[in-house]
Amino acid sequence: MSFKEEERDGAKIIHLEGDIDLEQTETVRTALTKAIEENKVVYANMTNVSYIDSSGVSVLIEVNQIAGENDKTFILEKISEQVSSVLKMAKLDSFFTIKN
Amino acid sequence: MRQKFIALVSSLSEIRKFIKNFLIEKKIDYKIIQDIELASGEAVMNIVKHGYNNGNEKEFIEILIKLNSKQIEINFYDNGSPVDPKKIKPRDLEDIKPGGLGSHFIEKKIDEVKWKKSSENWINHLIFIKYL
Repeated sequence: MSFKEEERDGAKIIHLEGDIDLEQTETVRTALTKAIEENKVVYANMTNVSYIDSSGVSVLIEVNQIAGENDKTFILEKISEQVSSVLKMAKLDSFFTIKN
Repeated sequence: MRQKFIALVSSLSEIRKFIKNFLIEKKIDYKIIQDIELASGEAVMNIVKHGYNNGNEKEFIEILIKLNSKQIEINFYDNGSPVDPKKIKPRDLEDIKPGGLGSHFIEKKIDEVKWKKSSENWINHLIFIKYL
């Protein structure tokens, strides 16, 4: 499975979709880490993500940390209510840059 | 309602859907359904990932859901590695790093979490109770 990608003002947007659970984490990790390696600014668009679990959150933490260590910017955009609630519960809503 | 699933990563979404659809059918409040979906998802992920070493196509996870006017009870049965509940601890949320969030989510979303030993020919029996 691959995710739809697009460019916007020099940034790469990865359109994640489906349930981000253990079954999908490797695909998400690969797509986002590749995008971070190749771009200065990466957006993970989460419009079509209706469910994320702790394994999905762990991948987002990992990618955000890689971005920080490499002077890159990683942004979550258009997160759903479920994703927002999970990030808040994990006290990660201020750890990530979130744009809606 | 009771159903058995193959202990594979690919069954995770199927199990969540089974639980969610049952609760939708019983007209449970959607916020409660979301809480149970997340917590149950974490429970079955732990069973597949840790209990069955990322999955075993010859093994199963059984789910039993009971509902009355006061509570929803979800039972998870598996034959993976025996779980010592005392060793399950959520990580410190201030120490941000990948991993260790699942048990925190379960603690936050479920009112009572119980473990029973060797019930009904299964090695592990986990019970979630969510009050209505």
